[in-house]
Amino acid sequence: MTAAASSDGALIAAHAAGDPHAFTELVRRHRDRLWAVALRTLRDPEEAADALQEAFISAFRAAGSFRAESQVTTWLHRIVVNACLDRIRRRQARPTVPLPEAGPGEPAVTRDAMADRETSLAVQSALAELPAEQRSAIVLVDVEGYSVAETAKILGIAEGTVKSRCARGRGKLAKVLGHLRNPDAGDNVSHDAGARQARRHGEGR
Amino acid sequence: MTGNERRSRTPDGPPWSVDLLADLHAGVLDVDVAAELRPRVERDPEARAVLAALDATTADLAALPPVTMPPEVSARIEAAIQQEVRAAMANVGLQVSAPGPAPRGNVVSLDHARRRRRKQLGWGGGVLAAAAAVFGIVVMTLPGNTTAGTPQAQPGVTPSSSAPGPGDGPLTLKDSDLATVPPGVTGASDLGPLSDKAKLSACLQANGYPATTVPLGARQVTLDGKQGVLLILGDPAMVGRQRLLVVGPNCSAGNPDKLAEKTVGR
Repeated sequence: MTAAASSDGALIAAHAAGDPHAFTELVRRHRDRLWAVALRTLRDPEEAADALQEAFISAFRAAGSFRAESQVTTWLHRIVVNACLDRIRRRQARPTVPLPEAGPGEPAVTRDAMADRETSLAVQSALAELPAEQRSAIVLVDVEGYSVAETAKILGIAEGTVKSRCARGRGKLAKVLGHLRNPDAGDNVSHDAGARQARRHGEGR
Repeated sequence: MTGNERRSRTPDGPPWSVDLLADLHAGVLDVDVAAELRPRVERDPEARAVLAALDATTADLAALPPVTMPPEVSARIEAAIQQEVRAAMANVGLQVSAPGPAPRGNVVSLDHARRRRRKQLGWGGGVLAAAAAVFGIVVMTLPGNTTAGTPQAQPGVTPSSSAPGPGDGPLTLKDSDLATVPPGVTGASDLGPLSDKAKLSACLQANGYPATTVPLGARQVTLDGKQGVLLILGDPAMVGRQRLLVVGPNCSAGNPDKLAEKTVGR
């Protein structure tokens, strides 16, 4: 009874009403985008698959409480991103290597390693060095092309926080990727109180 | 600190920190601060280089090639979802069947099944209630289900292959049973006298539904002693809400022959 042309909302309704195929149809529609988000947030295909499976089962069980005022895709993305972030928080055995905070004289890292990599591999590698919260914002906005507003809904945070996390993440990536060839430039005022006060949203991540 | 104090401070420079320039680039700064800062930044080569580096970074990120889910991951996830469907069915089935006597013959008592569902489905939302309904079909069609035992969900079983047919006899219902979707109806296609598509469409139209409505389930019933067909009609606009429509055997164009109509779910 699952119509291929059904809307996402109709599929959720059919699933909630007992259609055993509706949820699979919904997953097939959105699996590639959700896979991209999970893979780029976690960077490990096995972990991404585990997180997605966990997220889809969670969504399967929670579909009865889905409210139509939310977009199905936003709802699914939120569940997937949360599953990924939970996984990152739990896996303390494989912490990401945090970049130094823009202090004078700090080296831009891994230039040698980047030299013989394809650009996309370098970018993916650089993404891995961001804190998870910055990475998830960057992945959604800059890689997957979601608007700041949509990303804010997916992550359950304010739009200003999305922008702020993107700003911090892009600054670090620009250094790692070598676009900022002189990372010391301008950093001598990075602790300037006036500059910090000027920011509407103080949270950096 | 007040918002006015914040807005009154446009950071001195050049030079400016990468953090501040990244904030300007990302639209984090207040509009008036950004408006004041931007022309000054544009006049500073170092600051312009930082903004260009940020642009190059976002271009790199946007240029990452699209990825598609590998077939093995997709297969694994779909298998997990199917297992979830079967597990939900099995859980509910165990609740339905034990410890009381298994239903006998072709007429299924709802009270027994419902008592157990209500007792043990505290964690279930609409999905699991629906799974319970689907499982009801499995129980009714399991070979030898008139003897006591533990019904097992059948891997790969679908409502279309296990839905009760006319041989299972009508489901005996009271009007009060229509407070929720009776088990064994969702996914069933036991239309009886409405098996003819044109007749079903005419009947639905006579009852005010679009002729194209596809029931989520259908089951021949005896409602308070009257023969009829119970139809579950989904409401795509409201997740988890369905209409239960029971019509008599004479339902046709111009004759609704309505025995009952209830809204269930939320």
